[in-house]
Amino acid sequence: MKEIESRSVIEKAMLLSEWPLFERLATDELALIAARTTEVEYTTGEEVDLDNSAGGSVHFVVSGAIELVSKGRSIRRAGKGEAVGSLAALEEVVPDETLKILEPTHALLLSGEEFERTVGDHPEFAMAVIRRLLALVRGLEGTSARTDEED
Amino acid sequence: MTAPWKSVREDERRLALAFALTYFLIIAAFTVAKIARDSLFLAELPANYLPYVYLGLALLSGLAAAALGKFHTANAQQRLSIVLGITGFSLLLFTLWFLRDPGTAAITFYLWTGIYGVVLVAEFWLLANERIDSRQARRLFGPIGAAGILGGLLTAAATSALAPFIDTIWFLVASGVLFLVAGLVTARATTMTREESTPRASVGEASKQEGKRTPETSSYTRFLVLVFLLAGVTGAVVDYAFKVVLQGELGDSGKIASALGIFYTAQGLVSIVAQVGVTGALISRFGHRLAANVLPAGVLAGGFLAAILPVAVAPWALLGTKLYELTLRFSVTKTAWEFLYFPLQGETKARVKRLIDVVVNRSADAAAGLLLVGLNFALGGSLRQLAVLIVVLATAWWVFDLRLNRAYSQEVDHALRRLVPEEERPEDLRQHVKVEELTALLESADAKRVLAAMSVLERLDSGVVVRHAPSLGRHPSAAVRARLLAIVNASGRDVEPYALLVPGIGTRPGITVHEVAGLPAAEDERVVIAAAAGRVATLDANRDPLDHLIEDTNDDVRRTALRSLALLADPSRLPRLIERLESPRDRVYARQALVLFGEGVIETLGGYAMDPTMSVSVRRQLIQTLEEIGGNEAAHALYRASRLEGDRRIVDAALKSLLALRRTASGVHLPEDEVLEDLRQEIERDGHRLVQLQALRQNAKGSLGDFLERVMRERTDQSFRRIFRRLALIHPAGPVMSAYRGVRSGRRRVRAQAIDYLDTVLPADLKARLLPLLDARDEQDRMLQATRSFASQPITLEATLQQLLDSREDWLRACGLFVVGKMRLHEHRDAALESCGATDPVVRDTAQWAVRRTE
Repeated sequence: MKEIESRSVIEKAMLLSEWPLFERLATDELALIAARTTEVEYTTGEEVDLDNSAGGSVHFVVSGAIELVSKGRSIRRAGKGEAVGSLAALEEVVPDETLKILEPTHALLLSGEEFERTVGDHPEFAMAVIRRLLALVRGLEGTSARTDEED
Repeated sequence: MTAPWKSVREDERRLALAFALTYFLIIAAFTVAKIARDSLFLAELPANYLPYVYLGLALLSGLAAAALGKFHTANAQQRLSIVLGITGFSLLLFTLWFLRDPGTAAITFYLWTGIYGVVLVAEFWLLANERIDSRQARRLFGPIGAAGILGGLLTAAATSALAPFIDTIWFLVASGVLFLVAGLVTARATTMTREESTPRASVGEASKQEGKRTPETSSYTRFLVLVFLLAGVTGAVVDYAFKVVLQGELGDSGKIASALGIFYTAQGLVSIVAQVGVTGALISRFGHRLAANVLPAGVLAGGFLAAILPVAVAPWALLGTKLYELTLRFSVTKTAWEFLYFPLQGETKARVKRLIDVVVNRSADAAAGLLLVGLNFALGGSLRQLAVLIVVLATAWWVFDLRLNRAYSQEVDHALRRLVPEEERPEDLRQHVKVEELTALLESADAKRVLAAMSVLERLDSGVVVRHAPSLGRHPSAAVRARLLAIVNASGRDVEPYALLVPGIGTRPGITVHEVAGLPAAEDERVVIAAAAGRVATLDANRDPLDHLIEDTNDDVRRTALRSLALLADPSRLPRLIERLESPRDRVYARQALVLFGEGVIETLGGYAMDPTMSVSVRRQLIQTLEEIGGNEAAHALYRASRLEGDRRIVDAALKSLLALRRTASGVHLPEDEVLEDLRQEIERDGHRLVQLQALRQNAKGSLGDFLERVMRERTDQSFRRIFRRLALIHPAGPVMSAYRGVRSGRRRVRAQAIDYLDTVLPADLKARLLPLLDARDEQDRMLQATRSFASQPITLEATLQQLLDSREDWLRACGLFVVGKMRLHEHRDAALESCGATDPVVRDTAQWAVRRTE
């Protein structure tokens, strides 16, 4: 991983504004969150341990592709405009997970602690997170139902 | 003087023309019929028959109103065209009757004209009220009224000129034909004007809601009825006095018809001048209520003059009073009165309008008739006596008309709340949660279930948890026991008796607050220590354990320790508590602890809330803490924060909390002058933002342009909301915030009602600045209005950038610096260098970035 700090906070805010999670936030609020992020670059094949002892982290993929892997099993892939990560704040038992970098990736990293602070500070963001989680659960239910039918 | 047509917008011209033409024809036809009626009546019968005719009119009007009530299912347009058709044919039939039996026909025709005249005008304005909203009415009612007056004027002049040459009976034929033409025009022309954007469902919905309040019981309607009754009685007495003068001086039907023609021509001329030159300006500048108040005041003055002037001159004073009364009644006052119906909705509006125009006005004639019969019988009914009667009636009318002003404002307020209900408050948890089911979970062996139930139950009724202390205290999970003790402690109860219920703790008397060196591993034990530390008087002894415990890994321990820290009431511990506001997990507990300090720390907390070096998150939490402490002092601390200029997030949070605090606490008074000044500045800011937005739209392209446009759009929205929030600091918050939602709603009629509300509460200078922006057709028009009112210099990107760089708002300054860096504007590098040491982290970061980019 390479930390880069070439962009200004406002440029990062402009990037974040493209994620549905942030669409209801005012631009000055976005800048506040952008200031909490770190800009990172990964090279293909790199493996990143998600540091759950520090509360986890979320990667907002600006470009490239990464894969969330748990116990050698692929959980999900994320490309441009998607977010992936694990959070101690949301999960009682945080599994050992790693990020596998599939192609050169540029991302904005929000630490678990800052993520939690953002949820606390911005109810609109918290609601967007809940909506996203519900969509994931529905997706899992759909997959499970299909599997049952196939069985 | 501005011609009323100039104020009509291009997209409204067709609508205005259709209504103006219809009204022109109706009034033209009615004027001819009225002249024929008066001259035929006065030629056949003495004037002192008139009071009896007024009584007959009142009785018949009741029947007419009842008949129209059956008509309510038809739409207003159909109703008007049908009534016009019936009237036209009836006049042609009356012509035949007059030829056979003029005496009976004169009385019957007088009665008939009295009924259909008011019915037609009422139905016409109901249709206008249905198709035109209250904001459009300010522009359109003037020209429409002018068209009516012109119709009256032209036909009165024509009648007067033709009266010596043709028999009066032919005027009846002409009137009938004009009514038939008006009926055809109504059927065709107003069809084009059906307002497609008005959601019919919403009108129906409003009618249903309004239906709960019957017009008879509504205090506003009662006021309307009373004022219109007094206006009608006074007008009828003035009319009677006028006719007494006329008959005394003339006598022959031809002379009377000619004199009436001249009089109505003169009155028409004066009316049209008043309508064209005064009505719009008077209503726009002083409001329609003041425009209406002018009529009774003038009638009072005229009656007074007639009462004190010598007998030879008094008739002229009465003629002048009649001219004034009739002129205003059909110009300024007529237009102003129509606004009184806008707060009423749907069928209620139609019922009230009909009640007033048909029944009340005719009842007023009847009441006037009774008064005049009584006066003639008891005192003789001289002109001076009539003048005194006019003075008495006009005084009562004026007084109640002034009181109607307030009733109208209240009704606008009610109407707005009916149309735009107040925002829903957060629902009560009790509505969705069954306490019994949660209580049952307390018996579970599964710690997770018990903890979840305890958390919810604490919010509903902590007593339930406390009552289960014996079993919860013995629960195998230390987390459950810790939660129990934390809840007990937070409820203000002494923890010690409950701690004794816990087997481990109860048998360990050694646990004390001084057991600092090695805090026990079990969280329940640490909760006991944290709770005990807040109850020991010696401060020094407790500081160390609390300093450790407020950073404990367990929520219940930290929460208890924070509370204990507050209970020590040591102001030097405030910074420690404020620091914990930064933590998302502890901020609620830290806030609760700060609230325990109470009013004594308001000034300190207010100071921190205004400190730009503190983080925005903490400052917001402090603002919420002030709201929770409540009271007048906290309100003033919040008010001071709401006047800051650096960060709108703090200002918005402070205003929101201030409004919430005002809603729950009485006796919070804020300095009105200062609030109005803030409001003035907020309106200025809103206008300037719109101008800047336009500049950015025209000049900045690409992603930078899009982003800046988004920023400015947000800024105008935020500024707009703040205008209403500030207004709600000095007016009832409910209707003000309903007006905010109404103005933003897509429903044109609701929006108009909301703007009308603002029209009644804003001072004149603020109205002049804000209402043109709200009345704008669309966003483009709004920007145009803003440019006219707020742009002091040509709009260029450079000027806008300079304004951003000079802005006192951190975020806008950061955006300006961003433009400097993004476009590598070397000429602004100094501005970037100056901001490199800014307190705000975003400004600082952007300035440093811009400096790097412009090297």
